[in-house]
Amino acid sequence: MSPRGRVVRGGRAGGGEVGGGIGGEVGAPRSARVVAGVPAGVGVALLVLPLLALVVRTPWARAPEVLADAAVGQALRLSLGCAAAATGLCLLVGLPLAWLLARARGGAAATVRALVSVPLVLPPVVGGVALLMLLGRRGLLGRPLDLAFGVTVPFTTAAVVLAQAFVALPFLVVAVEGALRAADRRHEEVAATLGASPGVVARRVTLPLVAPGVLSGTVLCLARALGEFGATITFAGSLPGVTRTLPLGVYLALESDPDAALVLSVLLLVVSLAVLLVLRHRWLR
Amino acid sequence: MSPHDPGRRRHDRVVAAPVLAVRAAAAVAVAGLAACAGAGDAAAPAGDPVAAPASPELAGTVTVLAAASLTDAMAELETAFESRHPSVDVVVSLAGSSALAAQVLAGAPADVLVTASTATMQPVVDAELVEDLPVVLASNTLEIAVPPDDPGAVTGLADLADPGRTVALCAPEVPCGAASAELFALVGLVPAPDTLENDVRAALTKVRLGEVDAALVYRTDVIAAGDEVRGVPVPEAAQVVTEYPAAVLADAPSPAAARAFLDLLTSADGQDVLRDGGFLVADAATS
Amino acid sequence: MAAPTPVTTPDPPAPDGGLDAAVRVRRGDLVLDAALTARPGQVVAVLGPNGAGKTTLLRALAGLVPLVAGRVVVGGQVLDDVDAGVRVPAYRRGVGLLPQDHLLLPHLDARDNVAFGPRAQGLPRRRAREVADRWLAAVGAAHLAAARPRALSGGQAQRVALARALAVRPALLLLDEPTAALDALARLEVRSLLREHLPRADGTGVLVTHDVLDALALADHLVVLETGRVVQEGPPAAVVAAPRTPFVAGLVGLNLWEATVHGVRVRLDGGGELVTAVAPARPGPVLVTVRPGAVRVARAPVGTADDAGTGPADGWPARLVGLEHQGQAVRLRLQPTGRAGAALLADVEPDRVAALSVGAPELWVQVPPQEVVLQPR
Repeated sequence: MSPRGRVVRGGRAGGGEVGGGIGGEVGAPRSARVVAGVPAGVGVALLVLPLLALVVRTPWARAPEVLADAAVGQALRLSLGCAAAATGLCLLVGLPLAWLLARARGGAAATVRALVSVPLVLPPVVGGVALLMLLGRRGLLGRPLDLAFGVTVPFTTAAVVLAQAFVALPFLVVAVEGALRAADRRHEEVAATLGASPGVVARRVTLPLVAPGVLSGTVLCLARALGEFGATITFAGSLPGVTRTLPLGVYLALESDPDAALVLSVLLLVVSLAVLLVLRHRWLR
Repeated sequence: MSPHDPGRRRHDRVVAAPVLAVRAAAAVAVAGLAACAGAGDAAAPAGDPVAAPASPELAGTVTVLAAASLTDAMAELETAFESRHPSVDVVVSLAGSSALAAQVLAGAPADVLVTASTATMQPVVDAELVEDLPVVLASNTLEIAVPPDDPGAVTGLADLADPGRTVALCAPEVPCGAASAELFALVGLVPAPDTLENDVRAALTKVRLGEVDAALVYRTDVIAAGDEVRGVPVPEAAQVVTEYPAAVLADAPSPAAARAFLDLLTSADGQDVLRDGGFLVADAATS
Repeated sequence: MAAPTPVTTPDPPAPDGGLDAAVRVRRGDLVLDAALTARPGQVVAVLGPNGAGKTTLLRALAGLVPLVAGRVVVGGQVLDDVDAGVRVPAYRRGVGLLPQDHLLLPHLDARDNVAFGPRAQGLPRRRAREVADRWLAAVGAAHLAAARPRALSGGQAQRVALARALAVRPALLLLDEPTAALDALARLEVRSLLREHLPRADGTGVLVTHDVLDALALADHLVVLETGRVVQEGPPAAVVAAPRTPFVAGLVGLNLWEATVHGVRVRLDGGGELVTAVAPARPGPVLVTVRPGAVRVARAPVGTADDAGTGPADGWPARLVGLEHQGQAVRLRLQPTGRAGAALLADVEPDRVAALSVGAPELWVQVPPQEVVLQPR
């Protein structure tokens, strides 16, 4: 505890052993650590400091009032519901897609893989415009849908789910495909020799083997869907209770009540962290 | 909150009262020109923008933060100013008024701020970040924009209260939305929007893309959109006027050039540009 | 049908018949073209160098790779017949596989790994676990039932994997180098375990191995596979005693050369000459094998090539390129120094090593005629 005690202990351990026996060997990695440590520290600061600033500058005194606003609860529920639905949709189509991509060979698979990754690098607003061009009232599919069934997709909650799925699906597919490629296929072969049909193999062997990949893909997918803004506001618009998710609410609040926007931002941050923690806790023991 | 000093209270009054504001704008504009003329070449008659080149020492960059609805007018005014002051580079940053005001409050290094409502200018005035009284450049009224083929057969405000039609409005939190809400209240209608957009251009875009049957936007936006949208005049809209106050910022990096730019905005030429864009301009400043 | 009978009791039923396979498989550059037969209850060992097609052969028998041509019949059931268009998928063949690195499912404990097969065949979970417990006990792994594969040693995991393979009572059990990945002690354990259980397996066994001892200890029949073809087969002891390829000779530690015999003179095809005690009836090509312990290494030749003592000395000059302990002796690795002669292994007494290696002298290698063993080729 005392400063003196610490000094003495440090002198023995550091001066004696490191300086004598293995000093030379330790020196190089340590300097390498220092060299790597500086940019690494900058990286951490870049990620953490803005969030810290957000928390510090949030007017906590106003938090109860802002959070008690019925519109906030509405936006939060909508956000969670839509993100969950989008994630479910992504799992439904993404798992088979990842499986096919991981098992397929040749140019067609490479092309599909590249196309599937496009939303990763596409500005979400562009994704929203693209969705409008397809499913909007004058869209390639939207117009016949409207004419034949009177169904229009934009400005509906379904449009929010679609926009979120559009930007989040690649995260799931990439993660699961990577896990499938890394998994040892001989497990599946041995299971087959034990009498397991392809369906049983998929359910009881392949899926459990890639479960960590599916989990991290799902978490990424959900987080991306929760935070979706650009594609949603472009394709689905912004109407309280229908399409105005929490990120859209934050952005609008910035226009009128920046303090409320800060509180909502922290709320979004907390919800995202909570989702990550709960999923990790449940799945990874 | 914080106690108001007399100066600030005066600003409040100026910005809050439209009629007063217009009058004050003219007064300030004249005063500004006079001051400018006094400092530079006194020979030029006040209000004549040709006088501007008489300040050859003007140089550098003028950063103008302007409301999105001023997009086209600002482009024209920027060209006009730069041809008169070849050493000055005008940089126009366009966004929603509230966002612009928030940028100024956050310390953005800008010279001139033009917002689309007195309300959004107010926090900047309260923070004493303006060099002088904001002047009202022009005003704007609302109009219904519909796609050229008018799929919703929209004839008036009542159609925007029909849930069967797809309608985009500005969110009440932003100036065009506040004006829209005021207008609907005035005529006693409850609108049935399908989306509440963050700024007027986003609402207009939904019309241009044909995704909505109608949107309530500024008259200037309908004019700027040309053939891509059709305007449906709203007689009641004349009672809800949105004003565009402008001010040189207290911390302007190029205050002299900023003042000169503001002078251009309030000059006859500047007002003509705004009028051509569909804005209402005060006769006092243009005569 | 080819579907295996669900397991209800660990007692093996009598198999209908053995293995009768003739397969042609293409895998990259390699064309595997091999025939394999075994009676019920027999174990066939397949020995061969890396890339010979051993694993491909197993995968073909298991139905994991398609045949280009051929036929596989196990226990009287046709599993593959390319001409007739028959191909029973892996999960309906009743062909078990024990892989080299156990490949237990990491998310299941040992019991559920073993129960996997019975479950897949339709047993309810409880019954499948009972079956699994009996098989775990049978391989001496009952205490490991609740352990995850990650917590098992290599030998323990291989025991569990064996129980898993046996629990579906395969008509044909394929073992892919089951001891190769184990340390020496675990290898002994698993080998004796296989020795105990393979004859009790329901059907036929095919054991792919690198290890001659596996073949000698476990197999009734040994097949040597090289570059996709069977180059030698027979009872394991006979194959080991008279290897016909350098690979097998190397595995069992014998010198093997191709040669041509003229009377008692044996001329190696690669150069060098030996003398044999028993001349074959007719001159012609032969395979020569010589035990390393029989090679005489000295600083100079002793005697001459024939009984008359008139010809040149037999053997050839060589130099030492490596040595290692081999039981009580030291095994020398020698390279010919002249144009005539062949590389060979020779075992010498440890106390002679200094005399033969100090100063790196040129040595002379010879083989007593009675130790020169000939086989026709």
